[in-house]
Amino acid sequence: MRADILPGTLEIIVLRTLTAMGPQHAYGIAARIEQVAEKSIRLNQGTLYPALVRLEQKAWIKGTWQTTENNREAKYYTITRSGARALAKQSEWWQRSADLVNRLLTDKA
Amino acid sequence: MSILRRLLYRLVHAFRPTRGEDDLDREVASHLLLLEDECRRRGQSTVEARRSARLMLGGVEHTKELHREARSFAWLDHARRDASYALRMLRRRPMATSAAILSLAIGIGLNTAVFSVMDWVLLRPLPYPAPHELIRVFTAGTAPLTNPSALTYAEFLTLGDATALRSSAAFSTATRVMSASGIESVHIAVARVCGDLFGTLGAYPKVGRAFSAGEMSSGAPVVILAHDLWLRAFLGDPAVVGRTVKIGGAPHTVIGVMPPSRGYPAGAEVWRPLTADEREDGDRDLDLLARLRSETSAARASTEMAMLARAVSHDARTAWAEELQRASVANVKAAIQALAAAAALILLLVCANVAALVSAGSADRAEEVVIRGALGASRARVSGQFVMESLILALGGGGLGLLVGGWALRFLISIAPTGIPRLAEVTLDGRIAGMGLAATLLTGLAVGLAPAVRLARLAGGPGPNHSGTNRVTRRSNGRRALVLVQVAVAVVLTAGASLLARSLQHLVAIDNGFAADKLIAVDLYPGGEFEGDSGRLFEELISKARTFPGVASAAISQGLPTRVIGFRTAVQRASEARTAQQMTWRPVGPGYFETAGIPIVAGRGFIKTDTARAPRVAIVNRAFLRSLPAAVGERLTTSFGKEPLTIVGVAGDVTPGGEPDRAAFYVSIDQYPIGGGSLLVRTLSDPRAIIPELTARLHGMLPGLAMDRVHRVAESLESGRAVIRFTTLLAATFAGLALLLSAVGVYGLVAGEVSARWQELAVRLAVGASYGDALWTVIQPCTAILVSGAITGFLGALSAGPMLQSLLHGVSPADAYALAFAPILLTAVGMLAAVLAGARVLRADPAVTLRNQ
Repeated sequence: MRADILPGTLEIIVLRTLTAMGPQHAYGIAARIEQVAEKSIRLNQGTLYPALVRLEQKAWIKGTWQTTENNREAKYYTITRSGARALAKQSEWWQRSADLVNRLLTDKA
Repeated sequence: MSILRRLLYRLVHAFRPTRGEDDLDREVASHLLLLEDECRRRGQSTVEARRSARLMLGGVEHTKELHREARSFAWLDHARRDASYALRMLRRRPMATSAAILSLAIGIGLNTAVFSVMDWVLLRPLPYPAPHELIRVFTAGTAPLTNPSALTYAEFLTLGDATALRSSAAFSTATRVMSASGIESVHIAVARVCGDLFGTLGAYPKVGRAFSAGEMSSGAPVVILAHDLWLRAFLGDPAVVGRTVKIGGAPHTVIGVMPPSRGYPAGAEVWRPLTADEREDGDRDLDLLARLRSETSAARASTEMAMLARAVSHDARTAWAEELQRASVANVKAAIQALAAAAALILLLVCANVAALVSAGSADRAEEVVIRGALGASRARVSGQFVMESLILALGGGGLGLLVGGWALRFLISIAPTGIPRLAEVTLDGRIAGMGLAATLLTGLAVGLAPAVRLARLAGGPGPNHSGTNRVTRRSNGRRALVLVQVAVAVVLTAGASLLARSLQHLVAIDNGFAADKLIAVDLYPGGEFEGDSGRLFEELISKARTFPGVASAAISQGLPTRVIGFRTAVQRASEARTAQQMTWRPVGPGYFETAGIPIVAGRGFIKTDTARAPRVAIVNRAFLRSLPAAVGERLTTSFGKEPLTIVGVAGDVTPGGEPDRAAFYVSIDQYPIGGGSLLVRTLSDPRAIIPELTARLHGMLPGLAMDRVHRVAESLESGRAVIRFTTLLAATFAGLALLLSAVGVYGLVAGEVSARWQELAVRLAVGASYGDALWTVIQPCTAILVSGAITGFLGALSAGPMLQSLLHGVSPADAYALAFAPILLTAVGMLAAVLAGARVLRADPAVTLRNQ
């Protein structure tokens, strides 16, 4: 089953992707998300842009123009230090919520 | 922190929408190239790769729009663009736009003005603490039954002490002359008070102090000034406290000044303690004002009042309490409510017109909407566009409306009759202005939303074609209903106005029993100001007045013929020792009947020889003869003098404003001297032209005399019908507006009909139909609407008529003339508007129209 990305999670996913892969452009981020999700997620790549704008305006990522290995120019995003802090905080929160939901759903009593 | 930073960025982008746009273009282009590279690597052709890349991205424009929405406050930018587009569209139709804005301004202006009056006069609590606790107490005789009246001091002591009351006060007002060194002598309304007036009201002097208990019990000669008088006579000098002023010749010390618009009764200009003599006189001239204990009510207090009054009067009198606010607005409530209803109806008409104008405009724009829809504008964006236009109209109209409201309010106050409580305080305040603006915005939304939603549906339609246009223009049923309602409302308002006008006409035509036109009254209270014989003074005044150019005659009398009530005394015929009857007596000077224009129907008037030494004489009125038949030459005995009076003449009754005269007899002031009264002057032409000069001359001759109360007698008669005159004037204004607005509505409807059927008409004309036929085609549906609107309005007027009942005099609310007049007028005006609208369009050349298709 293919699902939409859970609302509000796209930002943290982008941050996590940038931490794992280092500086990356929008296409690269989208491709990576699709690859990790193994086609279980339906993603119009354009829908990534609002998340990128939000993150950039919060100064959690920073975009710079660079050239790809195929000599194309692309805007590469790098996670900033405040971005890393935000990611740590939010992933912890996500873990705990997910744990809680998981426990509630699998609780047999 | 990061949230704030983002907000800042979004704001910057909202006001600089193009900033970041280049970067976005570049980024999306690069994204597409990367995607195409990938697709080609998977073996797609260049063309296929281009297509897949766009599919994977999810649409270039869509992506950019998502970016913009996240980057800035896109709606803000949309609103800005809609607004500038709306302004352009409105400027393109200057006639319709200014018509809409002007009618909104009138509608909203009228409503803010009328509701300000209503708010202050009817709704706003009196400016005292816990105003609902304030009551007035009235008494009336039960056997025989009498009208509500004031109290005696003894009654005040009993009723004012009731357990339901926390505190109470009583007052009676009288006109006196106030003089002091350095100021002009003026007539003032003096309230003589007992009890605790200021404590009861909860309002105290702002300068100086209130009366002390000692001053109250001794009736000390101390006064407190009203704010107005303080400003007028003493220029607001705080040092007035401690000064001595003469009131009616007796020196009084000023001890305080009330705050503006505080103090009761509202017309009082000076308050002083009731003197011991005044307490003892037993006059029924005290008005009782009291404050209820918080746990009780006016109704419960009434029960106690009635019980107390019956107990002390052996069941001859009863008493009751009324809330002060209700008691003071009782006579204007109906008028103001009728006004408010009329103003609200006008606003309704305005909304109907604006809605018609907006939707007429929108019908022409169906094609534009279809194209915008085809180019990708969402329904929300298209309807937002139209709502924005109506909002701009509404704001323009509302802003202008507040200005109009300010003027209308000033106009209302300037023509308002005296005696409407608190009118002087009325202002347009923030609350009313806010309400007006809210009403405006709602109006804007309401009239903009309907066509917006209707048109927005087209945006998703199949594309530009003529069926789209027709779908809109054919749907004029809503507009027809609006015009029908307009006509009906205008009929109701016109009918109301004509009812009031007929009532006024009836009042003006009333026989007063004397000739009020060209009659001037000069109030005279020479007591204390003038050393010497007041009789001599009066004679001198009359002789001076008579020599004045333009004056026909002059006379002195104690009262004016505008008041039938007065002093009463027991009278009987000397020849017949039957039980005496209570009769009103009126001291007047020589020449009074001639000057006032009261006919002497038998015998003679007073003459010079009726002096203090001559036998006492009286002139009776017809009402007197009806209750006590007597003939000229007969003698009367009265309870106010030992000497019998000989009837020397019979005068006609005075019936000011139609009020029946009391049985009364006139005596001569040469035989029964008076201390004060009025100088009546009959002029040869319009008295208004003479008043200033006459006043100046009399004042010059007798500088010590206060001459500030000079008025036309007709004016004081008019004040009795001032409320109806005022209401009639306003109702006529409203009806005129309603007429105009509905004519505009009819005009717009027919004009719309013509433009919708332009092609059809052109074809008809081209194949030989006459202009008359074509005209009839377009105005025919309108006549049906006019007639049904007129009938609906007629029925409405018939059922709304009773609301005006209390304002009508001598006219039934179902008066046939007034009710028939309105629908006929409306139909005629409507037909005229329809023909004008039709004729304008038909002047166009059908050949040109057909060629353009």
